[in-house]
Amino acid sequence: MRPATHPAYLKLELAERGLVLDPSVRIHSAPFRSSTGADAVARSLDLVLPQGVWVSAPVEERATAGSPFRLLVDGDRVVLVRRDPDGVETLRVEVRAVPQPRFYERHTTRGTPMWRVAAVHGSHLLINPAGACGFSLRGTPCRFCVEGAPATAERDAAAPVEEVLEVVRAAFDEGAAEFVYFNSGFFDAEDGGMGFLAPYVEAVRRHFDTLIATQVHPPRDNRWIDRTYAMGVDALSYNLEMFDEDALKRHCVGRARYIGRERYLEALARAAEVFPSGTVWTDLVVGLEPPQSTMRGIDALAAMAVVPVVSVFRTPEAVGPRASLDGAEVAPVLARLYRAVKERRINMGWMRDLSLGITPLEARHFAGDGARLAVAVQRLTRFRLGALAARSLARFRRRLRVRTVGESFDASHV
Amino acid sequence: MAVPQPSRAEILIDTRPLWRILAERTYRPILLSTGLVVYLMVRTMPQPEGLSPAGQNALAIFALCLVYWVTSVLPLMVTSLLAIVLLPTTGVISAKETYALFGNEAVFFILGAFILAAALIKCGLSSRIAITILRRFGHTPRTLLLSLFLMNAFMSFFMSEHAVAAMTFPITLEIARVLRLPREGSNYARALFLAMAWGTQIGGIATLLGGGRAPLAIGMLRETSGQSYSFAEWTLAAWPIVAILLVVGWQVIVRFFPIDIDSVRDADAVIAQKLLRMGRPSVREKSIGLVMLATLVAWIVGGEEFGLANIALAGVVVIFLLRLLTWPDLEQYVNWGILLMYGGAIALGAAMTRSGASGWVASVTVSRWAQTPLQVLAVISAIGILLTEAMSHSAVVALLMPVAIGIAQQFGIDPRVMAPAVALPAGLAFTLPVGTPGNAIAYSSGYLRLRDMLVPGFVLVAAAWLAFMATATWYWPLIGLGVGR
Ligand code: SF4
Repeated sequence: MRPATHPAYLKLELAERGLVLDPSVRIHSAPFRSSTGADAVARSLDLVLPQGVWVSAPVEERATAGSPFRLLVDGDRVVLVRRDPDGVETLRVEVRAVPQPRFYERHTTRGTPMWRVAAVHGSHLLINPAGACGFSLRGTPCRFCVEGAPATAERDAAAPVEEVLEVVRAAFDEGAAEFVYFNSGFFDAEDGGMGFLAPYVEAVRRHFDTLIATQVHPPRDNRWIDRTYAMGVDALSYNLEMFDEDALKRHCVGRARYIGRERYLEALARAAEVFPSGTVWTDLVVGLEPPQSTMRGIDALAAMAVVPVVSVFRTPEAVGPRASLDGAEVAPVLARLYRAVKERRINMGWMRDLSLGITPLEARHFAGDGARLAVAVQRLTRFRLGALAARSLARFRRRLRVRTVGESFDASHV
Repeated sequence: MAVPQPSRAEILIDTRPLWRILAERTYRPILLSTGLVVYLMVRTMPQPEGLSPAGQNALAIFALCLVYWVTSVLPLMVTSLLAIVLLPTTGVISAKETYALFGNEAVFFILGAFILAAALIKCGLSSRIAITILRRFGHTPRTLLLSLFLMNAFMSFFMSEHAVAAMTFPITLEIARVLRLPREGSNYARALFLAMAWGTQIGGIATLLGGGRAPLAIGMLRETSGQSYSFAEWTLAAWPIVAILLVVGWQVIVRFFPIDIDSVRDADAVIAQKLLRMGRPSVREKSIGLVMLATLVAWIVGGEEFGLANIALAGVVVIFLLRLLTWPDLEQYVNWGILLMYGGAIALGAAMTRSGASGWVASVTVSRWAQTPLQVLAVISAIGILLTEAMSHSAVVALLMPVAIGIAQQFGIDPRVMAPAVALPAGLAFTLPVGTPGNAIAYSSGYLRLRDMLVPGFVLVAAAWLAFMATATWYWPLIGLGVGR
C-alpha cells in the first residue's frame, strides 16, 4: 500500500515507528523539546506537522531501529524525510520543532528543578502533583505504564500548591503552554483523586486566565463529577484505555479490579452530561485489543457524548518485543473515530494539540472529509481573541450551570 | 497532604439545555421591570372617568402586585410588603391605616390555626388519627383507597390541607412501597397519590381551617364591607360542594385508574405495625386533642361573640400554659411568611375598595362580560378556578376579592356572597403540580405522570365549577346568601 501523506497518517506512523535524528539535529543550537520533560537523554521529541498537528515521536535508538523517518536541520528549516526500504525518498516535509522550554532549566524557590513539577506536551502544561499512582503502590500498575509504575515517590512528597503556581507562571510567561493539564494516578478514595487536585485547580483558577483539563480516575460518587466541573475544571478525562473487558483485565489490572469498566463508562456518561460538549474524553489505545473492539468502543463512547482519543500503543521494554502496528488496520478505526463523533454532533474543537493521541478532528483525514467548519472554528481559538472568547464562554456556561442546593430551592420557589 | 473535604454547600449542576437556563435567569429582571413599567403606566395614564387620583394609585399598586403575584418573581410575602410600603407612600391610605389593616383579625386567626395544627402534628396525634382510620377501614384495595381519600379530606377540615398532605405523604409512599407497586403503570399507585392530593384539597375548603384562603377572603370582606362569617356559616355554605366533590372525585379516581391489585395485606400489616409502635395515646396527645376539640366547639358556638381569632389565640395560650408545646417546636411548623402575605393582601384589598379602584376595575372588566348576578358569579368562579390551577390559592384570593367586592356593589349583590364565591373555587386545583403543595408532593412521588393529573384533574375541575354554580344558584339562597338572578 502506498503510504498516505496527510499529517494525521504521518502522526500515526511517527508515533508508532519513531524517527532517527540526523547528526545535523544534534548540533542544532537550540535543543528540541523532549516530550518526557528535561531528561538528560530525550526519549521522544514534540514536533508540529503541517496543519498544526502535534506529535510526540520516539527518538531512542532502540525504539526507532528500522524507522523510515529521519529528522534533519537544513539551514533554518527542520525537515522530516521518509524513505522506503530501498532508500528511495517518498516524502520530504517541513515541520516545526519546538524548542526546549527555558523553565526546564530553572528551579523553584524551594530548589526543585521546574521540569520535575511540570512538563509541556503539545500546548498543555502537564502537572502530576501526586507522583506515584495508586495502582503501582498496590502492585497492579497498567502493563504499559511509563509514569506511575516505576514511581517510588510517596504521596507525602506531593508538590506544594505554591510551587506548582510558580512553575505555571514560568511556563506561561515564556509562552511555552496555553493550558494546564492536571494528571493524577489512582487514588483509593471516594473522590477519585479530585479532592487531592482541588486545591491545585482552585489556585490555578484564581491566578491564571486559562483552561484547565484534568485526567483522573472515576470517583465512587457522581457528586464528585459535578464538583469537578464546579471547581473550575474545563475538560475531564477518565481514561478507559481499552474497551474490551478481557483486554482491560489483562493490561490494566488495577483499573479492572479497583474501579471496573462499567464504572468508567457510567462516570464518563455523567461527566458528558455536566461538561460542555467535546470536553470529556477518554483514550483508547490501538494495538492492545482487536480493531473491531476499539471501533465498538468509539461508537459506544460517542453515543454517550464522550470524545474518544486514539493513542498508539508503544511497547515499553517490560511488555516484550515491539509488535508493529498495521496501518491498514488502524486507518478504518480512525475514520470511524471521526465519523462517530461527527454523527453525534460532538464539538471537536476542544481537543487539540495533543501530541500523544489522535483527536477526532485530526482523524478527519482518514475519513476523507475536510471538516471545514470545525477546522475553522478550532483555528479561531488559536488567536488571542478567539481563545479569550472560548475562555469567557466556558466561564459563562459554568456560571449558568452550577448552583448550590439553596439557590436551586430559591429558584424553584421551594 | 490532607485531602480537603467536599464543600459544604452541596453543588448541583443544571443539565437542562442552556437556552432554558438562560431564559430562566433572565426572566426575573424582565418580570421585575415589567411590573415596574405596568405600575408607572397606570400611575401616569390620563385619569380615567370615575377613578379618583387615590384610586388610580391603588390600581397601579394592584397592577404591580398582580404581575409579581401571578409570576411569583418575588416571594408572595415580599410582594405584599411592597404593597404595604407603597400604599402610604403614594397617598392611597395613611400609614396608620395601612398597618392597622395589616394587623387584621384574619391574620391572627390564621396564626392561631397554624399553631394549633403544629401542636397536633408535633405530638403525633394527627398521624395517630390517620393511621387509626386506615387500620380501621382499609383492609381491601378499595376500602384502603377510599379511607385514604376520605381521611385526607376529613383531616383537612381541622388543619391546613398542605400540612395534611405533608403528613400523609410518607404513609402513602410506604403503602405503595410495601405493595411493591411499580413506579410506572400502576393504576393503584396513581389512585393512591391522587386520593391523597385531591382528598386534602376537597376537605380543605370545608371549614376555615383548611387553608388561609377563607380567612383571607373574610378578612378582606370585613375590612371593606364590615360583614363577616362565623365558623359554622362558612361550613354551611361550603359543605354541598365538598360532598359533591368527594363523590365525583372518588368516581374520577376509580374510573380513570381502575384498581389493579387484589390484596393490600402487606400494607395492612405495616399499618398495624405502625399503630402498635405508637402505643397508647400519651397524656400530651389527649390534652392537645381536648384543647383542639374545645377550640372547635368555641368557634362554632361563640365565634361571633368572641371572634374567631380570639378563640384561636386562647387555644394557643392554653397549649403553652399546659406546656404541651415549646416555642422552638412550633417555629418549624408555622409559615410566618404567609402571614405577611395575608396582611399585605388585606391592606391592599381594603385600599382598592376604599379608593373606588375595585369598583372601577369591576366596571371595565367583569361587568362588561356579565349581565346578571349569576353570570357574574359564573365568571368570577371560573376565573378563580382557572387561575388557581397554576397560582398560589391565596394570591388568587388577594387578586380577585377586591374586584369581586367592586362588582357586588355594582350589581347589588350581597358582598358576603363574594367571599365564598372567590375563596371556594380558589381552593380547587386538581390539574397541575404547581397548583398547590399537595399536588406537588403527590407528583414528587414519581408514581404520577403529568398526564395522570391533567386529564382526570380537568374533569374534576369542570365538575367542581358545576357543583359550585349549582350550590350558589339553588342552595345558598336557602341559607340566606341570596345571589339574585
Ligand atoms: S493508571 Fe495505569 S498508566 Fe496511569 S499511572 Fe497508574 S498505572 Fe500508570
